[in-house]
Amino acid sequence: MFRLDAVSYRLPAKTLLHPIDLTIDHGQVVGLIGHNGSGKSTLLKLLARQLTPSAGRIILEDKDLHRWGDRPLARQIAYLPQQPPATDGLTAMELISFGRYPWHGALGRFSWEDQQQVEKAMALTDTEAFANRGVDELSGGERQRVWLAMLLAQNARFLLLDEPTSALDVAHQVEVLSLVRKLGKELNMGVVVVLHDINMAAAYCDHLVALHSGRLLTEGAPEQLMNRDTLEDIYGIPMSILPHPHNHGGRIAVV
Amino acid sequence: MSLAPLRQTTGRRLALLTMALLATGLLLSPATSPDNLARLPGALILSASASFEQAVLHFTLLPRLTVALLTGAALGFAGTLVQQVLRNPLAAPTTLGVAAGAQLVLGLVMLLAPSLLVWRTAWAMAGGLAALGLVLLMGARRGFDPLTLTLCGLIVSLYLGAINTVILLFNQEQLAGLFIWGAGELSQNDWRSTLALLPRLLVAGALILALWRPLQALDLGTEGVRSLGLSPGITRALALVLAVYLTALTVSHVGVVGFIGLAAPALVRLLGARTLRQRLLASALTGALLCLVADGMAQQLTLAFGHLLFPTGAATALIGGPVLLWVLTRNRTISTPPSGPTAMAPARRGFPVSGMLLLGLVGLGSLAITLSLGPTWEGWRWTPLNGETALLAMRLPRMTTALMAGGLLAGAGVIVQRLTRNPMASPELLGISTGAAMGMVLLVLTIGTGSRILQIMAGGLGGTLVLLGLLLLSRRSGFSPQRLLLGGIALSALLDAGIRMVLAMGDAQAVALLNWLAGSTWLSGQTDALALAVVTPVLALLALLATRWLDLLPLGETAARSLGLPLAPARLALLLLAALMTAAATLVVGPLSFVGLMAPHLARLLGYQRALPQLLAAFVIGSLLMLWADWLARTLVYPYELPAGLVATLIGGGYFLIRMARMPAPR
Repeated sequence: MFRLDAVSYRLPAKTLLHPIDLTIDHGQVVGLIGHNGSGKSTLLKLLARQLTPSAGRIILEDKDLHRWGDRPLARQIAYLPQQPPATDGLTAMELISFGRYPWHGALGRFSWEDQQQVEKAMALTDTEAFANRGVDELSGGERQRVWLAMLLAQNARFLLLDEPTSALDVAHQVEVLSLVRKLGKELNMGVVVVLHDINMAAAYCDHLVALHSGRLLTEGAPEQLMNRDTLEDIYGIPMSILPHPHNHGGRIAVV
Repeated sequence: MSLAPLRQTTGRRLALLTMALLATGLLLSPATSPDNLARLPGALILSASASFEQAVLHFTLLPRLTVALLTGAALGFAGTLVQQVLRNPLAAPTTLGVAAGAQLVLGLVMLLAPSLLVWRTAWAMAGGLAALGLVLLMGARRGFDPLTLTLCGLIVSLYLGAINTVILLFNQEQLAGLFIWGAGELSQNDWRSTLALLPRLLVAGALILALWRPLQALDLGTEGVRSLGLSPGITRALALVLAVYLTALTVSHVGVVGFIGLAAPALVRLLGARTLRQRLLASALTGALLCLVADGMAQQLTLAFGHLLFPTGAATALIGGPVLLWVLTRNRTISTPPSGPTAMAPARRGFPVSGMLLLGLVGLGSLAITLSLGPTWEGWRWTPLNGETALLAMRLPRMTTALMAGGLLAGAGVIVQRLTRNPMASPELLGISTGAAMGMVLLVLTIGTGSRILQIMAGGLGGTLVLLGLLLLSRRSGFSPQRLLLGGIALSALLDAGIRMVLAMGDAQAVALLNWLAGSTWLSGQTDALALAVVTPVLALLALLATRWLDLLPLGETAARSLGLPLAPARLALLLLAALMTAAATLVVGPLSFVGLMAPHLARLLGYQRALPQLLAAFVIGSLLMLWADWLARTLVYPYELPAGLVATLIGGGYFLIRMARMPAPR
């Protein structure tokens, strides 16, 4: 469980995140939503320990985040940045195997267990077909799935995903998000995902956290947030809410 | 975010640096000493009644001042341009082989037809442009892709440099002047160079500024440039031609003034200049002033020591190095340069078992041949067949040394390139070789040649001091590769300047040093060989243990950290390992630039992409390269010898260029 206690992040000239309190549990898919520059990615990077909070405490499983060892932490948290780095000639399989580093470490043997996890991750993300192709040669969507597979191979307790669907077409967006949701439920993982598309967020997340200008605006179940006033507060433009034509109880927002 | 205050501080910092440099330059330069300032009015336009001092001011001091400013400005422009095109903060105009080409042509003319030397400027220009032509020819097939250009430029540069050194070794007396020219010599006796440089600099500068928009677009990468309706290939080629023209211009008039083209753009970037136009203008200004200060210092040193001629090119590093180091320690944030080019993707192989076997067999064969075959006074002989064990005993130590040193440097190269994510990085950029060299040079200058043990101790001490300096410098940033490289370069340039100055003083000991600097194996005796044979397997094993880190580090900080890699400790450990490997090899055979830089690339060209196979292949390639280089070095000109390092550059460079030329154009 993640617990944020008045966590904030400041640059010399600007505060990117004002003090924020938040709790994120296992088995939950939490969507971070908000306008561009609202602090979503900053919050995610703080959770992933890519940034250190300027003030406040982040507590993971009753232990201060900064007191976790590097590899133990990587066994708890897998993080996918908004722009995955260039991979310089690696094949998909090789990249996915890197996800096992937190488990075998610098010197440990790449065990049967490691191999199983890699194969499972590839099966779940449907990436076996390009196992031996260079990651740089893949299409944007394929590459995103390979990175996701690497995260799954990491077999962490929390997945932190920064706009994992931005490079994907609608079919793959649905595929990736339902996969993430399914894994979250089956493996009792906590998933924190930054999403731009409010409808996708509402459909696949259990809980939405809305940020505005670096402040926590509101949080709650999608049904609670999916109304005119709240959405206008979040995005700054008026939106209409319609009942979902097929999905009973669901709502969609249109501009 | 509010950008206005940011820009203001950048402007203020640049202004501060400019003022400081200008004041120092004017203070140091003899042309602007108080006495000479009083004479200035009469000296500007010389009348019949002018004094002798005024004539001196008019004909030598003032033109020297303007030439220094113009040279620096031209190099600042050229450096920024080259770094922009090659997308690498380590690139410099000399990366493309300009200086080496010019020096080669000048050397040949000096030897073959000294009477034609009256057109010195034209020869140098021709040599420089020919070298660039070669690089562009290689790059054209691959759309002037930055990485291809960079590697080809480095090879051409090293290759021509090796030929230069060979020629120099065999014609020391005739070419002594080239030493001084090679270190940059600005003395003038009329206004001709100024009048030649000024209009050309203005025209080229104007052209470059006109091109700044398309050039800025190169930040977007090949696709981005193309989508803006520009041809990336033509833009790059055009920019390089302009940059090299400017460099060749300065080289032909004043010789090789090396460091400014690298330091000025780096300084300007560290101080926060962002857009290309800012960087171009600011680095031209900074370059001009750096050169002014350096030249002032060179003149003061020459005056102070009387009989010695201090070349300005060497002094540029003495000035630029500390300035760069100072800025590096002051600035916490580095505006990151456009990300370097990533790999060329040749045909991949899986885990290269069969390839490794083949390499192993070639290795064994090579060992047998190089050990037993060789020229003797009675012609070529297969020694073991004659039972001449004495010869074997003589050959074995140096062969062992060659094998081990080659492997060590190649391994260090793989580590450094992966650690810094820069394909131009090589072990010497850590400054350890240069530190060792400086230690030896100081020993030779103070005590004399000294015993072998003494030499190794001096070298070891020099290398250790440099490494400590580098570690201190980059400790606060968690050993960030960017800082490490720039710091290493600054330190290397600083020490290199010292070495070149010693060489320019040119006595007999300089030649012995030159041999060591070119990487010679013949000095190595049994003790050296034994020591290396013990140390190498240990270091190699440590490197092999680190392959997981080496696999992850090229993915960048974020990915490596989120996978649980202990970033700072891992970097520190790898840095120390690379340093030890470099030091062990350098102390025995001298700094071999080629092996550490190119063996990792050769391994990649053969299809070994991951850390473990790349490391293994590089070990073997580096060892074999040095083995054959050593063999050729002692057989080619028997009974004389060549430095094996040079021969390694000649074979390895040739092979690399052929491979590059055959590689398919990118999709």
